Amino acid sequence: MAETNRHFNCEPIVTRRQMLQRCGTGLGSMGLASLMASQGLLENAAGATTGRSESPMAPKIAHFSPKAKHVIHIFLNGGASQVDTFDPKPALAKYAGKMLPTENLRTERKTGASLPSPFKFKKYGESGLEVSELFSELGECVDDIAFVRSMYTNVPNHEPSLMMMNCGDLIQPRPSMGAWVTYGLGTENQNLPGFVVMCPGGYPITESANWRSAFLPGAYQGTHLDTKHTDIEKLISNIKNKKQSLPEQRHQLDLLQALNRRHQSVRSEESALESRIQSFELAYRMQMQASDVFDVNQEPKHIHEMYGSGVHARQMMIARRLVERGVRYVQLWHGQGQPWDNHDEIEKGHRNLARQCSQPIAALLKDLKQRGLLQDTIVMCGGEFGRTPVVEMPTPGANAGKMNGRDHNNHGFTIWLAGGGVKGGQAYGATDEFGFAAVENKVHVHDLHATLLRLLGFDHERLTYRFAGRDFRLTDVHGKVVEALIA
Amino acid sequence: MLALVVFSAPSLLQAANKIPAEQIEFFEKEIRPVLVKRCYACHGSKKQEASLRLDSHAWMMKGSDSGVAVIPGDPVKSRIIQVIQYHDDDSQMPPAGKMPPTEIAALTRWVEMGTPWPISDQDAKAVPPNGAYDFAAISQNHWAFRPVTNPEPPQVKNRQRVSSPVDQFVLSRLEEKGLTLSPPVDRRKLIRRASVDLTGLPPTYQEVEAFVNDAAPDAYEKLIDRLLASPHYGERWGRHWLDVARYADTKGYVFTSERRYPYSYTYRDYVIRAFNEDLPYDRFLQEQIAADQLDRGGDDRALAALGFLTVGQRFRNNIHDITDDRIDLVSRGLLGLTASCARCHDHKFDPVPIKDYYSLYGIFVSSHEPDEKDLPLIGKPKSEAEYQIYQAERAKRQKKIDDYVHAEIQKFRTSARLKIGEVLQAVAEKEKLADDGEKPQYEKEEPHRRYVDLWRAFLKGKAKAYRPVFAPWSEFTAIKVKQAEFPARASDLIQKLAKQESETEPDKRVNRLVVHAFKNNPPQSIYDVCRVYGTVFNEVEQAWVKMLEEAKQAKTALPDKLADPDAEELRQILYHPESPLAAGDDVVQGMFNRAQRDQVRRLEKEIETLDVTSPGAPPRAMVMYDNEKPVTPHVHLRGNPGRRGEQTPRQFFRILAGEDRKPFEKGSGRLELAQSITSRENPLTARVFVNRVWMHHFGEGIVRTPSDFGVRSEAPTHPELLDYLAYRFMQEGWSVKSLHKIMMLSATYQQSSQIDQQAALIDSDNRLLWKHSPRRLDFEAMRDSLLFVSGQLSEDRGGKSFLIDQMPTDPRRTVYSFVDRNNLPNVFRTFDFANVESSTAQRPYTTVPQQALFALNSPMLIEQSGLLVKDLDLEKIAAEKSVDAAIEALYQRVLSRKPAAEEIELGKNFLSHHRDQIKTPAQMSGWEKYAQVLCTSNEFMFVD
Repeated sequence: MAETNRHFNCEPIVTRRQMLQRCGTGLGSMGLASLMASQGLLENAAGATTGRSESPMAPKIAHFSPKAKHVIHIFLNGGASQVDTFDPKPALAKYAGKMLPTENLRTERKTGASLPSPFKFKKYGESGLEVSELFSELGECVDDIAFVRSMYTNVPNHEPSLMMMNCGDLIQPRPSMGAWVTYGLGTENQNLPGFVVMCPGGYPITESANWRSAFLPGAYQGTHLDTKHTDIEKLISNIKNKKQSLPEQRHQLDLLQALNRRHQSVRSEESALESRIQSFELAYRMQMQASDVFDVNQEPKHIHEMYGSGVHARQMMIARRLVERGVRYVQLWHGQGQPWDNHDEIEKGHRNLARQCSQPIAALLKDLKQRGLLQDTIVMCGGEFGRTPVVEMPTPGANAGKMNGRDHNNHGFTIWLAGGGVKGGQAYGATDEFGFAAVENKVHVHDLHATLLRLLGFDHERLTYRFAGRDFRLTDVHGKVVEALIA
Repeated sequence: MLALVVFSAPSLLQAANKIPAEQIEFFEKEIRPVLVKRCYACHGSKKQEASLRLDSHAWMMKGSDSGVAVIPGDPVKSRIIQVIQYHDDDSQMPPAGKMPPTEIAALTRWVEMGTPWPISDQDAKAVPPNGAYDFAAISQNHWAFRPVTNPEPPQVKNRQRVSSPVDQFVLSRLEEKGLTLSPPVDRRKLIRRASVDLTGLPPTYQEVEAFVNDAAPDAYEKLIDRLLASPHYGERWGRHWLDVARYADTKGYVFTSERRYPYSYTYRDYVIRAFNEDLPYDRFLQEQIAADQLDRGGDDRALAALGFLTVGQRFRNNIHDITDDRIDLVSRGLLGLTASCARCHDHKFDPVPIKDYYSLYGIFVSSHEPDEKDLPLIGKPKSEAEYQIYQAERAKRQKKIDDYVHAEIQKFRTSARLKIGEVLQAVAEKEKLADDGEKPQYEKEEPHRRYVDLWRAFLKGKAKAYRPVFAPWSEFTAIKVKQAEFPARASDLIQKLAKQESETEPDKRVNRLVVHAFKNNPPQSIYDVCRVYGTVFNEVEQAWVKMLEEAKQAKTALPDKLADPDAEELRQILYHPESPLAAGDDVVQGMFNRAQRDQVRRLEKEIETLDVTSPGAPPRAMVMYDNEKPVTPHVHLRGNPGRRGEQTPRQFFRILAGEDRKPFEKGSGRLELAQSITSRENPLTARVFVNRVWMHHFGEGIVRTPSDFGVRSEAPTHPELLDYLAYRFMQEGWSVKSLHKIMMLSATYQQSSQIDQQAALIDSDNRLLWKHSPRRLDFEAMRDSLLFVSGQLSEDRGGKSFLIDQMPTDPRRTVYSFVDRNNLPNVFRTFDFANVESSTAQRPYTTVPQQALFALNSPMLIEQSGLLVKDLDLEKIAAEKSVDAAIEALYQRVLSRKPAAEEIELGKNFLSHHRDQIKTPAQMSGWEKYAQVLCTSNEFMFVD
């Protein structure tokens, strides 16, 4: 499988085989080269390698020069309501408690009358974009943000929509976007995983399928971390030795390497031996370097004040620290299960959820910006779909007979993007008068993926992987880059 | 490349040659540019909206999902001409806007001319298969579809190196390039290579010494025989097969249901046993596809083989995806054919029409899986006592479900008798008996849709027998007037009914209580009528319940009727065995609301969990059975089950079964499918398997795309060798063990792995096999070898899986560990485990620091190093004999050899450093650290 795969269909700078033929030095130097490249010792040597890449995470070069190098995806899982957050719809008030003049579109459950947003919207920034009081902290950042108000997806159910948003297919086991991106670009810091997923409390629904590598090598799967814990060992298995100190271990490692060198001396051309020797040295250094990334106590007081307190503040700070250290792709879930899924009590629910994350998200944007990281980091925020502008009807045995929530809505919702070459200060596309369905400049999830890949330097039609007889890609046979979102 | 040749349809090419030059010019100037500009974005090589493709004549003639696109010579009837007219009531193409009149005119004229389209090479490539591949040409041109031949081993120069016919094929190609085999590997390395290859475990020091000193000419053959007879052989090679079978112990995402398969292990154990018993490979495959239909000679253990089909991912019970997984498994895993590409359209490269895909689809959807609890028993649990405990617990949990369901059903019946008024309102609403402005009123929630339907049916049917009660209902519901007029009409009706009150004739009288109720509460709407009925029934029910209660308290005989005959008449309806109130338990359960259903599911999950976890749960086979009525499937256009295309019989692939293939007739056709796959005429099955076995022995297959033998696969490096092996394999009764021997007895297998600079320049990839390829232990071999040398490896085989990431380490072989498809343990991923979502031919090979971290820091390594030191009692040897002797014991155990003097020195230095330099109390002894070093060394991890 791996053997026949070209990493992606761009012109390779030099293939593994060509390099071997040219150099005639056998496999040894190649294995070493990619390991050195991963440490920034040997620039650009990895390029697009073919065949069995021993160091799958070595940085690679994209199709064209990328605007963004990192992605932070803030996932408001469960589906945040667009008309209560980023897509103001004053017309709903006219019909408060009454049926809309247009027919309610079909969603998961029965819906009823118009439910105007209980939250106030306000204009911010030079662009004058409106954001609801739920995310008032984001007001200062709107000029960096592109609100895509015309998102749509295929179905109004959580599981398939999560799969679509993350993996580009409703049901088939396909690699997640984070896996595709690390497959395509590798990562800049070999001491940390290239694709990190954080979720306080455990798993969102559909669990690790959201960050799976599917048929891509397992190395590209996201590394999941429950941010309720702060233990580095939850992130990188075996990062600490509980029985001996580092200097003690160094001594042990010296013996190991001495024996390995003896073993290697009569098998000098075998690259695999050298790679394994080097991997132990990397692992040893990793123990020292990786541990501090989660130690947010190292952040000064003013940074803590900026992010606020709580698990989301910590999660966002960690995200920044990861990106700062070269991690390619970070996904932050709001929480275990599907917290934004307010079928009832939406006012209480959304207010509470936004209170938890609004300040930390705004702080992340500002912090990235002040460090010059925002320009090459795409921050993306949204759910797997939106919610209906009309009320959900009570169902026996569900939502406790209450009529104050919203149903799932795949016809229209908002995702916002910032940084990483995104053209900020704009609202792209629009939903209808009531916020039910995207009508203007509609953007399907596939289009969003195509656009993100473009920002990262890929032609989404050429970032492919040969599996089971065909070349697969994140966008399958769909996807159109939304040029207007690119600065 | 071959595909291009065979796709070109000769007739079209000939036709092209006859096109007059001026028409060619017209096409190239006026038509092609328009098509490119206006149509190709959506109907070209990249996208085919509505399946329509207009970049070649043949594609155009194939039409779209909705039918013919062009009728040459008839523009009026041609869809592509119709839609560009931009009529308001028709599709309008292109969507961006109407084309200029000149272009429309040109296209119209072109269709009139009969659509002349000169065919270039470019077009020829794009000829649509349309299911009409040139099968005869493809099966002749592509090596993998040709029959397996029995080639004569070629003559070679270097005859001394020939140990088996395999060598003749290999040497002959080497000699063409002026190369030869590497020298034979030394015997220490050879026994390690053979042991790890066949059993996944290293040889012991004693075994190595015995082999090295065995001068018998058949010493090596005896070694192989011994290894093949070891039960560890099946554990090693069974695992290779489990990769192909995408084996795992969980179902994929299932929301809140039990995600674990309770009996997947029975399939794993079946596979291991099949390899150990050298079950002929054809039989092995037949059992995995159709064991339920084979003569099993009274031994039902083979039923577990069907787990091959059923242990896949469940896709939240989407039958189309489950079936797709099975088609992919059977076609790619067994045949090297990437047939799942044909789910949405004809395969773009290989001769697999979409119809063939749905032929297989029909086979699988004509079978079903029984519920887990009904799966056939295939053995006893390990302990009878555990079994008793299990059964008692299971009965307890079952009773919990039954009690809950029963109680809820009773609740429903009791409350339903008091809510007749509500259900009648729902009936009235459903049958639109009321004026629009009126709404029914319910105390809590609307009655269940199905319950309402039962009442509608009852009122139209059985209720006729209660004319005196329901006659007013019939009359009221017949009124159907505007709300304002209703009271007057109702009042008239009540007067009429009142007159009938004194009637005694059964077909004339009306129930007195009903009439009185209407007289006392003249209804204003049809819903009032319902409510009046509700009140009448309520009073009767309450009176009856009270009467029963009183009788119970007084301990007198229970009454059998109400005294008042009119009341009794009403009561009869409430307790009539055919009234909706007496609906069967299953019907009532079918009307449970979400909360009730969730509760039942929660309780059912408790049983499933018991089946998964209880050591007393007896083993069952994850079988499939044929449906009574097999289906003749339809093609799903573009893979969409909502869009049915042509029908296609259940049958085998055309490219493999030939032109005169017959549709399958026996049940679902699974058995016939199995027979077609294992037919000696099938060119793929034996080749694919022989290649897989070769790959595990030599590092790479003869075909380097082991699950794709299609036209885009890599050609075999040694095609004749592949055929020779495949032929002999079938000839010798599909014996897998014999196949190992043919390969391993060759000089090619026994050569050294040393690099030869000369050869490396000519063939850097070692495609010609001028040396053996050294390999790193895979995850299972690494973990098992570690347990083996630490003296911990358990001989306990089979049965329920253990969890790999728990301490203390379970010392069973890794193949018995739990494979969680949903959340694969980190350690599996770190060490390149197989993809558990679909069939894996070859695992990835990575070297990442996480692997080194496992070696350096994992609790398992630290634990096993300690156990190893204890098992050898090294401290004692060092104290009683010497440190040298202890080091020697350690080397013998871990690396199956004696240490060199220099190695002893290194070891002693390390130990004394540990003793002298570590100031803080050490948590690991020097010996433990030393043992860990040897267990993580390259020498331990690699096989030469």
